[in-house]
Amino acid sequence: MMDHRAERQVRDVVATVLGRPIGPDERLTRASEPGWDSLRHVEILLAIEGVCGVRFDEQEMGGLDSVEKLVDSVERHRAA
Amino acid sequence: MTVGIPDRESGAASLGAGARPKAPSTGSGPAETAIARAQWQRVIYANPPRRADLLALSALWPTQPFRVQVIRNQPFEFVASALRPFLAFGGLEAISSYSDYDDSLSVPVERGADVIIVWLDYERYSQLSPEDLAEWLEHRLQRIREKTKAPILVNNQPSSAGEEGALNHLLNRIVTRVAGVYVADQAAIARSLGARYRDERTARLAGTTVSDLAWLETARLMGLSWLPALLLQPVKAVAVDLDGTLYNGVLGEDGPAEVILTPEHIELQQRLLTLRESGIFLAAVSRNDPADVDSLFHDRTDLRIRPEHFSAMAVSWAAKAEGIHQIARDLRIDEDAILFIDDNPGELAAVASTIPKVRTLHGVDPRLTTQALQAFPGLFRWSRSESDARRIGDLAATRIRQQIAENGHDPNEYLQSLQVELGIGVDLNSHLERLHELSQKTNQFNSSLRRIGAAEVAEYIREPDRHALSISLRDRLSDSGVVGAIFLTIDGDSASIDEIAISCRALGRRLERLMIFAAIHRALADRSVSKVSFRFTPGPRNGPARDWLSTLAGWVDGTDIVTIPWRAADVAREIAAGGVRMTELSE
Repeated sequence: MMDHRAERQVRDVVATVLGRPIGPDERLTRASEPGWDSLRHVEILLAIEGVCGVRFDEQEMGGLDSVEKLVDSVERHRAA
Repeated sequence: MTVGIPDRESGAASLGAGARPKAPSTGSGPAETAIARAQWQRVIYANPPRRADLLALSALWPTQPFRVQVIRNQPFEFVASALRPFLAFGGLEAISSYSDYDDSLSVPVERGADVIIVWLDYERYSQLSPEDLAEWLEHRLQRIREKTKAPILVNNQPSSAGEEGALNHLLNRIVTRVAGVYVADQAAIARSLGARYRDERTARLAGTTVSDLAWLETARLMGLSWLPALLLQPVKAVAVDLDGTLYNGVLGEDGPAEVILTPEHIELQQRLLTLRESGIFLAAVSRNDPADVDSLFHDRTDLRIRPEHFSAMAVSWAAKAEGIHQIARDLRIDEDAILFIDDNPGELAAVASTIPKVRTLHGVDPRLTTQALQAFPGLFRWSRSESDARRIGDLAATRIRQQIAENGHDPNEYLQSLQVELGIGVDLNSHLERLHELSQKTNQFNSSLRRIGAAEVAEYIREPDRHALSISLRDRLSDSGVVGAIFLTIDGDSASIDEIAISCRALGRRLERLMIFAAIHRALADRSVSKVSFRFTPGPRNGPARDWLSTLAGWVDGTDIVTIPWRAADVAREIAAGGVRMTELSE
């Protein structure tokens, strides 16, 4: 079950970086979003780190290609 | 275990009005703008800056667009996205175009660009020695310069040691040879961040190991300091409130002994004094009883700022907008050259609604205010000239000259009593930046408002039928340095004065005709010129230039060319009888 705070923070950051709102039921992935290119992906990761107070591992960064995966990772780092 | 940044609430939700992503409005009023900008300050000057908070800012006020071309071999996008809010804070908006990644920098240069940014990952040239790399880079910058007169901003290496440091040293010499090139100092950012400058994690994903913090600090400096110094009118004076800004407390209620001077307030005052040493006027604007303010400075010797540090003081119960107008008159500057700092957002709004062009800073937190004064749009200068350092003393001397003029009757006697000395220089490379500055920043005595860039000044210096003239001014009261620039083109027996720009500091001494004629006479000494034409372009504030041109051949109205016959012998006699000593300036 998602941490609602983490979910809210991640969705806010992704919306800010992509420059558009994300619908409450929208399952946003990098594959489905034309504006989510490689540079935007890095920007999303760095911005989430700043807001959520986590630091992603180098090995996982490339694979965090959806809002759901980002939230899961934030929760995991916070729980560690 | 979480490493690094403490957990915080989502940045966007905590900022209040003006922070949520939304389409910019068609424009808010000046008062609303002052309040909104005050709300932005905690994000703009956050330490450390946060990318999500910056991206969430959306300006509700009009911004001035400018075109920037980025010529690069590495991503600039991490800087660009954060650059937007920093530029907006200063009223600017970048319309950007990016070249492909090209190590050779052989890309078409956009002729319409207002600024060129050359953005390099120098590791891609690691097979070259610093000397070879510098030689190649200088050649590429020259080629870019041939295609555009826009200022060029090029980054240096982040390290000051070894071969990286050697290249940076060579780059500092290149910018003295290629006009209008400025160094985006990554080495200074790297020094301040230390190990935090690098983040090896992003090498594979983004092709760079520069950290997000380094990108954000770069964006901050670029948006608040480097680009505004190229594009905006400079801040010439900081007008600061007293109660609640320079100290905690209300003087009229607490009395001098009870106002509180915290370490943060002391640091703020010292920062203001540092600005003063660099040539920025300090002024006080306060709604207080003048006698109380006198008592404050008499009793509180722990205040770092003293009355003599203020070049102007507006202390009364009148509205602060009146005080700002008075300060502008006293300092002989325009209101848009003033930065007004006050802890009361209502005062900021009131001044902004009356004088929209005044720049404002919310000064409720002295620590944040000190930080803001390190990087406020318009305060940074790419170079400090001797003229900057002289500005404060010059004003005091101006007041004495005014008294002498009011007491005297004969203009020549006035000039002789001052022991005025005019220096004339022709095509001096050492004056290039000052001449560029005069063309860009002079508003009142500027005949054509061409805003000549450094690259074009270099052309005037270099080309045989064009000249860049420097005019310096000193008298027994002060040495004002180079105060005038004239740009001139010769075509056969005619000379065209493309622009005259004379600093406000030199006006009012009845020397305008003598300065201008002496400089033109010097430039035309070996030429058979029989007529001189002065171009005039009207602007909102160059009435003094129009008025002077009108003395030559009748009233000038609208865009006009004033042509006068030029008789060198007559001009020489006029200069000799002018009552001033003439000298020749050299490199």
